[in-house]
Amino acid sequence: MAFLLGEKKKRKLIFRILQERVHAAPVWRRMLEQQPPDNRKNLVATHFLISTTALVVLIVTYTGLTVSSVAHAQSEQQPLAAAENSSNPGPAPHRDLSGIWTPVGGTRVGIQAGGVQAMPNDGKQEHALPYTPYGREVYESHRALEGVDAVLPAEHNDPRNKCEPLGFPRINHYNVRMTQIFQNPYKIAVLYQYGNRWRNIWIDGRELPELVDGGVIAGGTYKASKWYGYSVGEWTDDYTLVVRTVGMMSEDRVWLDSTGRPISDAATIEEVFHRLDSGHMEWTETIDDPKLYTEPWVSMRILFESADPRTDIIEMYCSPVEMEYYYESFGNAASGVENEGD
Amino acid sequence: MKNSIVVSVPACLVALTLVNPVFAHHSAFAFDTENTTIIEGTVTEWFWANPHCLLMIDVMTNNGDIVHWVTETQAPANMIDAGWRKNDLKPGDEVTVTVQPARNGNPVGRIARVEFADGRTLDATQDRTGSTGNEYHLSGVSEKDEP
Repeated sequence: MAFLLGEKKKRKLIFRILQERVHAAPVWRRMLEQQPPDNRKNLVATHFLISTTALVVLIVTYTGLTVSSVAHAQSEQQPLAAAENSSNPGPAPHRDLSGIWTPVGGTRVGIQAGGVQAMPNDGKQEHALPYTPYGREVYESHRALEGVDAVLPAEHNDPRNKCEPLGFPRINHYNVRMTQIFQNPYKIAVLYQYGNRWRNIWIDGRELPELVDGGVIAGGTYKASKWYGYSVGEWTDDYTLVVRTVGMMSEDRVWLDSTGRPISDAATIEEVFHRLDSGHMEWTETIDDPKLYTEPWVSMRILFESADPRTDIIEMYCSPVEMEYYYESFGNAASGVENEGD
Repeated sequence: MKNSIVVSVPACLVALTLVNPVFAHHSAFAFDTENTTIIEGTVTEWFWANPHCLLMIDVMTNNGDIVHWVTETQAPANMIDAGWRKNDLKPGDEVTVTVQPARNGNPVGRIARVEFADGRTLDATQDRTGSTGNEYHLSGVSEKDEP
């Protein structure tokens, strides 16, 4: 039991035992002297039993305290287990994506400033997207701050600059840095660093909701579109999870990437999470959005490595107050635009 | 405040690792990335925030006028990776700042480097996580640097 006590309580218990024994000694001596000689033997035996028990409790308590203190100190200094060390990885665990994941190749790989990682918006023919006429129209209505068609800082209409939620799948293409994944038998939670946003992927065998106008039918019930959609995953082998997501916001609320590529509420996003070993995971994404694109296309294929699970991840928020001050102080002047009231 | 030394230097001649900053917020085309300007002045504010940290400096020109420069660098998350801290700069610090100036001539620019009066320097380099990951790159993975 003593092992279950906190350090403070253990110290208190030890003190009480010692205090008890010090106070008890003279009492026992007086009781012994008052007893007839025949009873003295029984009393001595009882005293011996109580003292020994107290001593044992004392030793066990003290040992427990010392051992647990040492163990606690060691846990703070322990090297990472192989499963948590990307530089010396072991085999991948079965059906497990949990960990802190960071893009291999440094920060810029996950930031994706120039557009979705696998198809940057750089004007190259091989990166041209298969827009439908409506898809191109929507793209051309976006005044992005990045990519080949970028405008000056003050001329944008990116909802991100009003600190609107990025939504899914843009959250996969904007400042993807340290991403935490937790899972239990029912669902996987993906926690993104940017904006402290998260989404759930259900892995409990449920069906992917059916897309309907303005939302989805999930389990026979209508549910409205969500910024981060409805995601259902299925393990295709012990190391590969295929996730499909539907029911996101419409193209007038969200963008696909920072270069103004569009995404609509008709999209089905397929992600594949594939564990290569204990320290590496490949995360791919394919976009199927018949409203905006004539065919499905691969938008992301990034290798992630595991980070120290004890990492305290830096906050990265979009603050409307800070954003406004940024434009007043810098963005407008860089664009040659005067602040209101100047 | 000392008189400023404001000079334009072709970027290729600047003895520093000229940055390819990891700007996620906007592209660089509003700025002259081919030339840098070196300004010397007194810090009035160091704004540590998203989307970009801002360093504001009062610069005295040779004719005695004060020009208020606003220079930006990266988001705090990147700055920490590059070795910067929230309290690195404070009002009153005398600094020499190398910037990529705005093309429109306004006194704004992107920071490449800050030098303190005591010789310390801060470079706005990209993250220094040391993770190159080249051996892991997959087909279709772009390493495109922002302009």
